[in-house]
Amino acid sequence: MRWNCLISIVLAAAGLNFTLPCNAAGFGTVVAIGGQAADIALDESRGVVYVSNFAAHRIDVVSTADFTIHTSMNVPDAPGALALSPDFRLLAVAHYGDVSGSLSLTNPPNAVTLINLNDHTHQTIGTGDTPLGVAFINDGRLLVVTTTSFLLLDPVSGYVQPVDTFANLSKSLAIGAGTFPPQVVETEMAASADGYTVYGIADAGAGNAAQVLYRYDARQNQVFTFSLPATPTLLPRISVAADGSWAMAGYAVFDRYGHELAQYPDVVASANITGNAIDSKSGIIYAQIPDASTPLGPPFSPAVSPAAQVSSTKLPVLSIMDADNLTVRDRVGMPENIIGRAVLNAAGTMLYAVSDSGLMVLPIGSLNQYPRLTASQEDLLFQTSFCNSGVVTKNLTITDPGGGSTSFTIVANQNGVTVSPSSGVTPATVQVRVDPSAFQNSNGTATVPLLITSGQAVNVPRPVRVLINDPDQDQRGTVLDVPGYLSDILADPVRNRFYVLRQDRNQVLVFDGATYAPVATLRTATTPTRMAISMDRKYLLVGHDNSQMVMVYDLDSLQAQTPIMLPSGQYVRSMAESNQLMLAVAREGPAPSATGGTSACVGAACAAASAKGARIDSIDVSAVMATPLNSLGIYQNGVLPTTVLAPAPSGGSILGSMDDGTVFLYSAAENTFVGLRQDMPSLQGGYAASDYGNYLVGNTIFNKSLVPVGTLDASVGSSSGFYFAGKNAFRTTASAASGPGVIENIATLQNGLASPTRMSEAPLLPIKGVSFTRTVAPLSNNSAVVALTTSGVTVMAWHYDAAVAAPQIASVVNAADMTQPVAPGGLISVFGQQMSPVNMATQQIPLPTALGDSCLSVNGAPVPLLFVSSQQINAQLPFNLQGDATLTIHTPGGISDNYYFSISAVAPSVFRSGTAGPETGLATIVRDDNNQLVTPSNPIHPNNVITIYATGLGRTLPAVDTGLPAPADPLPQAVVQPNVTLGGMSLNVTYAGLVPGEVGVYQINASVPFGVPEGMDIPLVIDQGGATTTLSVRVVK
Amino acid sequence: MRTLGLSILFLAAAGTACYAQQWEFGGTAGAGFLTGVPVTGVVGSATTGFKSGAAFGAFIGNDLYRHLSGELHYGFLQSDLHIQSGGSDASFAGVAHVVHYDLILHTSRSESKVQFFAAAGGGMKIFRGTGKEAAYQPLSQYAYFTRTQAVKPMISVGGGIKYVIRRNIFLRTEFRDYITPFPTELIAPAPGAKISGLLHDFVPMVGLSVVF
Repeated sequence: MRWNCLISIVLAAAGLNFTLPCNAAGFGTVVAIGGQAADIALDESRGVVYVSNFAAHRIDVVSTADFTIHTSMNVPDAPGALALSPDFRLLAVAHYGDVSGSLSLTNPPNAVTLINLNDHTHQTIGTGDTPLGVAFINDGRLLVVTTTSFLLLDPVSGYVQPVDTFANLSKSLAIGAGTFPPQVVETEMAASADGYTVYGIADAGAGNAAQVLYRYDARQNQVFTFSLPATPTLLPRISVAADGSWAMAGYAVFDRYGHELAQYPDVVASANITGNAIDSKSGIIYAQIPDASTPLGPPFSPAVSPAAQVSSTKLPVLSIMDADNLTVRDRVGMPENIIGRAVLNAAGTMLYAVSDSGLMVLPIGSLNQYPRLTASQEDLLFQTSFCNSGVVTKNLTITDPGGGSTSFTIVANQNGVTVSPSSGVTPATVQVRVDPSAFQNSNGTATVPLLITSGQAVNVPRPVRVLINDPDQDQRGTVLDVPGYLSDILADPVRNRFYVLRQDRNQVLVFDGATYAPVATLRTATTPTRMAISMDRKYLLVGHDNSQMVMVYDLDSLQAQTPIMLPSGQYVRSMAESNQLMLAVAREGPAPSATGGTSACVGAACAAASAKGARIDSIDVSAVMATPLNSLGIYQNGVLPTTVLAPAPSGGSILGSMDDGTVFLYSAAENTFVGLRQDMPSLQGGYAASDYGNYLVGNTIFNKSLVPVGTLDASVGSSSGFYFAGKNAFRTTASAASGPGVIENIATLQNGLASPTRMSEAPLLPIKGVSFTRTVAPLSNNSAVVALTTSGVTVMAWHYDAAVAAPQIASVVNAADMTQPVAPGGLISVFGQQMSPVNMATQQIPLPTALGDSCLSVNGAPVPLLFVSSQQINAQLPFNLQGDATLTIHTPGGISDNYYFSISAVAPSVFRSGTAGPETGLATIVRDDNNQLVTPSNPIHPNNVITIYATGLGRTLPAVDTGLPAPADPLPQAVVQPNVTLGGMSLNVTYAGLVPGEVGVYQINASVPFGVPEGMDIPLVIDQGGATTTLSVRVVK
Repeated sequence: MRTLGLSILFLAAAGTACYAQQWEFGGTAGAGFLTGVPVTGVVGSATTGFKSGAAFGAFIGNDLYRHLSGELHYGFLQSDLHIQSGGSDASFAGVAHVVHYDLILHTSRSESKVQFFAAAGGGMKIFRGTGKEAAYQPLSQYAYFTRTQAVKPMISVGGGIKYVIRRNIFLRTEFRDYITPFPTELIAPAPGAKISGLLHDFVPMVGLSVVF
């Protein structure tokens, strides 16, 4: 089973069902033709679409202006495939004539009719065998594929030239009820925009399970065919990229050599529902592909769509996807299913498709004019701490991407989570309120979906994941929200970074190892599974379950390199590097092989691999190639598709593990596989290899001969991940995804003694079909350990279990100029000792009140945090505090002594965080005319307008909640307005208040009068209600 | 501005007083070559000043006596601001305008087709920094370039040759040294740094003049 199937299962289990609005039929128009459409051809020069009416023996001409049938052209029986000549003069019609039984067609059945669209004359030319598909090539000739051959037909002379022959393809008429013309013809072909390349797909014929993908190259007058043993079957729908370099067949994308670049994940078999169209200019594919996450009914079209054979409750949905890796951008409901060819107009604004009723027209270029819904965030993470265990609220914005006013309803079917208001009209901000007391026994993270529905929206809004993290004080680790399905984590051995695979969006997320903030996002191919880093530490490799490619990234430039194409039919599930070979587990999937070509795998090795479902390949990064190994040393090269590989950190060995209990070992020293044993009935969970001959899988310890030598305690939960720090091994486990996690320092492998420490939330656990998980990685500088957990990533201090002294506070100053005065809502810096076990900054909004296992309280109120470290914490003082204050810090080491300080009503202070070239610590005063900091080389001139960034300007009107960014409208102005003078002359202050979008940062906008004195050190004084701050600036006339 | 106004008045008055029978009007083009000035700071030393650049000018003069004339000159000079230390340098766009009145001691016009002359006078030089100011400027430990203008008194000395092309048309080559105080308004010494010395702008030019 594919990973994405499993993702869907998990999502479904979590209750993340998608719902579609009941009136989504408002998007798109259906033209009922009174018959059965087999194919369409778009003639933009005449503003019509030709529809071959297979059952009624005519070509219906549908106007693209009013979507009605203006005329119909009667043609010989069973008109199937259509093609329009490049000069828009001829319409070719293939007449399907494979007839059996008593059915008798009155006209010559096996023929092609050429209709001159200028003079309406018809010319019918026999093709011998049944013509299945037609396409005009660049020189105006017609390529015809029949049940037995490829023909080139010259419309001028009528000469028919055989190009190639074919295995017999056929399905005989008459047919049963509910069988649509494309199911009969079983083939479709389409030409590139330049007419030099024609792609097609056909059923390989009776008795052959495979299908055939073919490409006709007009330059070489040659047909290239590729066998496609795809499961489920690729329905005959072809779209070709404008330059002919690739095409989409059914649910998969192939290059000109038959390599499968991408296949849509999680496909559900369907007899006739599928359609696709490529917009090469925009890099978008529009497609309907039945999958496990297709929204459920009730249908909005009359009752149940007659072609909806997948499920009567599946609704027709058009997916809008990235062309390179089929990442779904949005999904839009349609009136009915696509059951044949889909074509775009030249502008890419209208999609025409063969549908249940005949023709469906979708104005995809006008989507912004239709109501849609989207949420501002994928996740909302709520965290409690020792300082804050009360009700927490966060805002979520619902918008219409087109800017319209769309009604919506949002619900959370879980006690303790409320949304207010629960319905509205976009744009709207709703408040999500979480009462942690409803989750207080979890000691982990509960996941609650917020379902967004609408009676108007035509798209399928994604649900928002609400995460409620409620750890106890003894639990370790800072939880970072990373949305999506995360399938792998890897620390860079030489750079202070770590990499996380986000499988549902086909991305590698690159995180900085110092701040734990995402610094880059790399696009992968479809469904990334596992990563590996080359032994030279230059490249990151990513394998995929739905692409033959292994993506390669330069780790210095973070740029994609030429991908490694696996042999046909192989998809990399896991990879590991060593000092000799880099190995990959290649799942054997149904994929094309070049007809008549040399197979990538031959002999007994292939047989073994086929029996098991996967094999081990060797990957050569420098040669950009992958090669199946003939054998695994003395063992056959056949492994289970769920096999995983774990590299020893220094490259001496690679451990392989299968969920049937088999383990095997590749030794770089011997450059061969030195062991393969099956002593366990099954294995699952975390896996890792050490440099000291110790190997861990699940709860089992293996020695260098792969003999089980110990069992780890299973009572602390299921195994999730392992890592080695020198000789010490560490394991993460959990009992449930919503509970706490456990990290153990396995001090003595031989006797399995372990010292467990509870984590803030559970590490990701194996799910059905995914037996092994790699969820934990030690950073290369030994500063922290990062783990994939329920909410995303959890960061733990390297010495997470070390005894920690109680925190000590030395001073509290404002965070701008580091002086004593502080004010409500201002940013402060707290200096001291042992204030956090890790250095961590946050980008969460609103600011969290606990970060890196630390939290602050002032007069008992939790304080939003921006940054924590052992000796400094940056935070925002609550707006409601003033006067004498008491500060305490809570850390795993305990509670600090009380620190007493005073909070003034206002305490303006200008940030000294500006940088210019190598100069740092500059006052943040900006000249508006060049948007650069005021410095001696960028002095203030008369009539300049300057912006001063500061903190400590106190309360604002309107008030802003602590920890939240300031709004842009209305602007929150300081209640006590400041006076600003320069060299004794007053400046005209036009605004003084919070900076929109920032937390605790204020700005003062002021204009400089003409008569201001000049000099190198002119005093700039900000006076706010008697509280002043002074800087020296250079003024030049 | 006050200095500029006084200078213009003085020069205009001088021109009017030096009434004579023959007037000469002409234009010149050439280049200005400026000397660098040392700047010493707490972190070392550098050379600052202005880059060489094109120069254009115009003048009008009249004969006061047989061998003595008076000329009122205007000149435009491209003068980018510049600072250099070690292998590093930085520059900033700038221009300068000069206005000066010179007394010209020359050979007799009737004796030969070639006349030699020496000039000395005074006026003012207007320095203008026209570049884009930025928060960071390389070598700012020595001095800061500034987008402003400064007017400095100027001494002009030089000489040249006039060649009679036609009866009332002269080809003229001349050389001037414009000597001014250093414009620290444009190139301001950084705190702790000191700029000292006079600025010499050597300007060779070629031009045509008409006598009427």
